[in-house]
Amino acid sequence: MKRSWVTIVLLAGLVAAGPGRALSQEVIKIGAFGPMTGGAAGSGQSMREGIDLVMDEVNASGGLLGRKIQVLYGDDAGKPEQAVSIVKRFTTADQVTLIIGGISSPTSMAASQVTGEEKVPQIMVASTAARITLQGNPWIFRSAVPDVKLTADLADFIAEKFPKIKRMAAIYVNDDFGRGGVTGFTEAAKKHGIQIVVEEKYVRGDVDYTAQITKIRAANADAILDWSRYHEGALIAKGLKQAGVTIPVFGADGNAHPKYIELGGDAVDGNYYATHFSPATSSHLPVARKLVEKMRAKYGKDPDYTHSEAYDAALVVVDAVKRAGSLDREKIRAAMAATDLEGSRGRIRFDKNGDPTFVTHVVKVVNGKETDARK
Amino acid sequence: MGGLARGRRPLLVLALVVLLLAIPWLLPQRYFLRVVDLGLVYAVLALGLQLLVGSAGQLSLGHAAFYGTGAYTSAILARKLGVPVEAAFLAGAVVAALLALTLVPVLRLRGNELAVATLGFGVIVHAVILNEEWLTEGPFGMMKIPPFRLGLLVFDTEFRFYYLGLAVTAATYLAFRRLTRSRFGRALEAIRQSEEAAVTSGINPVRYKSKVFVIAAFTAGLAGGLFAHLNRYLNPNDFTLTESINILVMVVVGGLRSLEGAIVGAMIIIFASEYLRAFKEYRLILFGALLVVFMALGAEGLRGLPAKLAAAARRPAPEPSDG
Repeated sequence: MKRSWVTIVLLAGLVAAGPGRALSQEVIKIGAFGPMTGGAAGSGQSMREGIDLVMDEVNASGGLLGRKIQVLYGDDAGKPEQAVSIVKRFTTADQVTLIIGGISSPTSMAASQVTGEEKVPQIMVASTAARITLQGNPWIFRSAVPDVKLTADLADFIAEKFPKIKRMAAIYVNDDFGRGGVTGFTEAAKKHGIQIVVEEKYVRGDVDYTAQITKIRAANADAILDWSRYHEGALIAKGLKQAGVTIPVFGADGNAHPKYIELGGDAVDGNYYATHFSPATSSHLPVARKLVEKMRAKYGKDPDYTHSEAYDAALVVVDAVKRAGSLDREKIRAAMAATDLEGSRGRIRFDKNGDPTFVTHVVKVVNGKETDARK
Repeated sequence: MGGLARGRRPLLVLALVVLLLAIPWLLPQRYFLRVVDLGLVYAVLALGLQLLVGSAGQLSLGHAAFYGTGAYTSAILARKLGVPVEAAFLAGAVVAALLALTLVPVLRLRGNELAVATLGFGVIVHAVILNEEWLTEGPFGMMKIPPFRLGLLVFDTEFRFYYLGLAVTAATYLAFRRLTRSRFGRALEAIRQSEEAAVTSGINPVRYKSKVFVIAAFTAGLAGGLFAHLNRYLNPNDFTLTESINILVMVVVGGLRSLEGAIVGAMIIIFASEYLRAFKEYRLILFGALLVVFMALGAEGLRGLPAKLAAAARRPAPEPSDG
């Protein structure tokens, strides 16, 4: 038995020693990673479509710096350990020029440690955890608006448009998303003199919110902060309508999904929520109109927020390589840091941490349709 | 069985040792070495589970709990408390072993019941890692874990880590080889075949099962420490039930009761899941198909492959299996 194992291992060694890698200088290699399988595979797919829209167009018009762009996609299945392996492959075996991704915050965070050490520029697509860009890593950039900025932008919006709102009641899902959102909002709202007077939480998947709504009603607040995902968000809106609560409702980016309006019906009419992308709030932006047009032509659907974030990330990458005028990673990093470009969500510039500086869009639902609440 | 002349075996073993030591020089590609390093971590994990499942016949679905405990203990001690990494590494294994002691009351359970109890245990440990943010940094994971070091030696590259992983794997393998061939190993064998019969031969199953659980947990803790200082980033999602099942798959693919099989099984599963990435969305289908093929080899897994091939070569006409 032992002998056979020794033979197998020796053979495996020979097989592994097989063909080497051919170096090709004619293409610019870009590595992109995200979940292509597992629960979040839909987001990975959107990311891929968004990037391809940009890169296909660049390649069709002669490429970049006289070379074609080749995007290598890696599936992290939503797992940080796999994200690390993929990014190590991108940086050491594939020798990519830079990296786009990922989707979930833990995978992006795990990958950023590798890109920081290997000195490879990385632009995250949909990861919103603020702390990823606070690690002192100059190689990391982000297309999405980080969670802390989103809550602060929502608080600014309320203070500006509704100066009479001073006392708010919060209802939220009791997990890192809900807790993080309400904590961030409470902190940001303080400087506008807005106070959270009651906090009611629920467990994800709950269907009855009578207890929480009764307490919110008793608190006699000026408005409601709802940090939910769209399914629960729609049920809460229905519950509020049934209970005859008419004060304005301000929701999280979790409500920014077509299903919120579909499930909520007329109960969500008049409600507000923060969003990472909506064709309604971006309709005045030429890049957004182009994105919608191209998405319909190529994939026959409207872009979701991951499409838009990936599309913008790809635009930033192409623009930075063009301005750097070389494939030198440090030059590209410097060019990325100096980005000033029209994207599908606004003018893209990065702050010192690598986060985008445009303000978060806010939607108001009017007659079952998204409208731009900032107008 | 082995038809090889006795005198040539030491030579083959020597060739294997030389090959193993030479791998990073022959194949210095960093991504390849990263995958091999990961394979070594899982080889240690699979060895521990092989002892438990293969030798003692105790099905555990909670191996990732001890793996995670070792990883987080070592990382927290080294990064947050500034404990020297080699000490933190050993502490991780000791804490994992101590945690296994809390399982002693459920070791009276057998078979499926024990499996479900260990599954529950795995869920609890994952929940603790996920929720105790002050200790583990919660769902965002822990960054900037220092690399392993031994005195002046720093194992901070894939190349250097390989030798650390190889040393721990080899030490675990040799220790388990001795163990399974000792009186202790024979007692486990007896328990695996029939607990009742073992009792009548004067063996106390709970005591032996406790010992083997503690040993398996200790090696899982070692593997966890290796992973923490190799990956240098830990996230609760890497220590779930899926991980426990993954390790179990390695053991079964390699062949139950074979220590060499556990190592080769770990390498095959890690290499398959990494290198199948080239097939994009077909990766999981191919991976699944690969598992089915391996299992079609029978209960012996890969371990039985050489013997089967040899038998097929000897017999020109296919004959019904003789079991």
